Amino acid sequence: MERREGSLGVRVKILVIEDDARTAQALRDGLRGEGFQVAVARTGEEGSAALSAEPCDLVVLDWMLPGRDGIEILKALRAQGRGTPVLLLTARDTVEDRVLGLDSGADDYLVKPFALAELLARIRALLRRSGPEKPLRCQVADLVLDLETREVTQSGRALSLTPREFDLLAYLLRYHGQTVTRQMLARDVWRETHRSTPLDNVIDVHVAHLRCKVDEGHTTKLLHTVRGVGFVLREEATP
Amino acid sequence: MSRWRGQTLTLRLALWHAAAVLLVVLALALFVRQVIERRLVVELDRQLRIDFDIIEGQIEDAADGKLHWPLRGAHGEEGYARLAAWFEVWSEEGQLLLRHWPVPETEAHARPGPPSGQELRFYSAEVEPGLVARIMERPGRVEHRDVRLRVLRDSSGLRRTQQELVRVFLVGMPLAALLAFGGGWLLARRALAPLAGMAARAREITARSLSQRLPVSNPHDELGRLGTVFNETLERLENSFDELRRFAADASHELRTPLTALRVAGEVVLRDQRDSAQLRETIGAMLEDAQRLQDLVESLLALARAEAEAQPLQRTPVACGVLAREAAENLRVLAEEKHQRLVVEVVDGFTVAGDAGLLRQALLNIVHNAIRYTPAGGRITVHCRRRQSEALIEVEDTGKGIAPEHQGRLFERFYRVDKARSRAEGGAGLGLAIARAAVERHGGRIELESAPGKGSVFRIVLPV
Repeated sequence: MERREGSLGVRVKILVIEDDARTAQALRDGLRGEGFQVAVARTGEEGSAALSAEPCDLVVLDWMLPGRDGIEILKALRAQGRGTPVLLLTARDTVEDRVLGLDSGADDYLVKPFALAELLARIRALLRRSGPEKPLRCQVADLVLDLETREVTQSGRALSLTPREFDLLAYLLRYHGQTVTRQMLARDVWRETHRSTPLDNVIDVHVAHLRCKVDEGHTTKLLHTVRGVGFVLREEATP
Repeated sequence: MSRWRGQTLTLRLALWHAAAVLLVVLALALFVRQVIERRLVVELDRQLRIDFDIIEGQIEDAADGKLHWPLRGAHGEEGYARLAAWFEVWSEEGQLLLRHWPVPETEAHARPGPPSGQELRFYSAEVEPGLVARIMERPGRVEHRDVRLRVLRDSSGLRRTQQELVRVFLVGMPLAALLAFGGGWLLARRALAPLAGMAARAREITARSLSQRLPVSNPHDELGRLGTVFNETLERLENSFDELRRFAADASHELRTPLTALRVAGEVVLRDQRDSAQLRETIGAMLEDAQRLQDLVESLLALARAEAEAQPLQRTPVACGVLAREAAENLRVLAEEKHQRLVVEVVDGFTVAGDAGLLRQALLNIVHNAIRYTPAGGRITVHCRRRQSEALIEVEDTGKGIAPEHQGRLFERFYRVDKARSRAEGGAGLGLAIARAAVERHGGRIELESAPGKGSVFRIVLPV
């Protein structure tokens, strides 16, 4: 199993405060599968106790909790002057709720139901926040993207991509090895926050086009569909 | 005031009625009193003129230099009072020459002064205690002698008439008011009787019995109109309740379909021995169903939010041209897949104040709908222009058109023209409903022009 390590070479520790047993268990398994060290608290009080008992690198916090609710815990944490990144989970997604959540000191906000892929992407983004700058060139296998000139070459041969296809590929490449959901693509590549638009179809067509250009005629495929979740960019030889 | 308002409408109407009648009678009484007094005074004055002429002619200038009235004593001293007319004759110098008074001279109480002025004068005065007289004064001539003559007549008849009149009105007015009150009460009760019936019926109407209607006896009078309006409101309520009920049923049906697939797939996987690849396949299918469920829930939420009037819109200036172009560009790949031409014809330079996200959602859904239902090789045009104070965004297609019986219901939630076909293509039947809710939220409307075989035009009309 891959071990996720923080800047000091210690395993990254994540505290999940979530009252729903199934969700909590799924989050624990999912995060452990990614190499994180996970502690779970099931009530607000338990969560506060865990927070003050030992330090952690990131908190996944449910808003609606029995006892002390998530916002209270978050405010208490910030009042102590602790800057631990907090990802707030909630079923409430009005603009007012988002503002309240972020104003209370949350670093990010994820609306239920969410895909594990998206949660992982956001956790990585939060952990990376103090990390190095985004590189201007990135590469996977023989595919090289220059983010400044917006040029793509594969095995030294230039690929002709539409601007949208380039953005899509760049995004997949940034999360390379990780699954990206259509929701993430709609929001981050198409800048569409409303979910009930026909963009999912559009995304599928663009991915199909991109796959044509990138994988057609290669034995090592890069662009894969993860059924029911989204897409992932990684080297995988087809049998 | 609150006590007054607390009374029933019937009582208040009756009281108003009585008050109005009382006021009219009072005004009438004052008027009648005035008219009668005027008539009586005129009549008295006419009598006085006749008296004057007779008396002036009857008075003689006796040899002793005194004036003499031959009728004096004919009725005896005590008979003075019975005479209708009395008089005084004064000299020009203001000396009383002759007096015929209602009481014997010895008992006379009042000593009115000499007539003043040279002119004819009428007035009323109390000449003896309790005796008011109408008086006429005028210069006269007795045999060659200039005198001033004052003629008087008892005017207590006038006062008696007036008193009688007042008595009649004092008795009559409360009677009239009472009658008016009773009449008003009956009238108001009769007129408002249907109201009680309507109230009783309205009280029985609940969400469960919305099909009931109020009885309307005469649809042309005020209460009838009220009843009609109320019935129309009930009709609308019933319709929206029906729609809601249908919506709940449709929504559960739509949710049930992916849920069933999800359950069955899970059960089958548990029952059979499967290898890892098959397991992954099944779980992927289950996740797809979960995604469909989530999309449906998102769409329902979007619809609820677009319809929620309580939340204020986040309005910013939205350039319609940009909106139209963006929507078309976003969906262009879908049209290209079907070898359709997607054309944008835009007049730029105007904005509407609105929620860009909601409007984009509406337009995306309409354009997507056009792409989906236009056959391969067709043409879809997005026009954007301004018509007076309205912004128009039209989506025109060369599809097969929509039959009139579907046009009215096309924007209803979960309504599909071709049920089997659209579900297979993944449509939940909410796109147009969301579009309409979003546009109506902005005070606009969506117009539909379509005929079978002739294609369709969906027109978003927004106030600028």
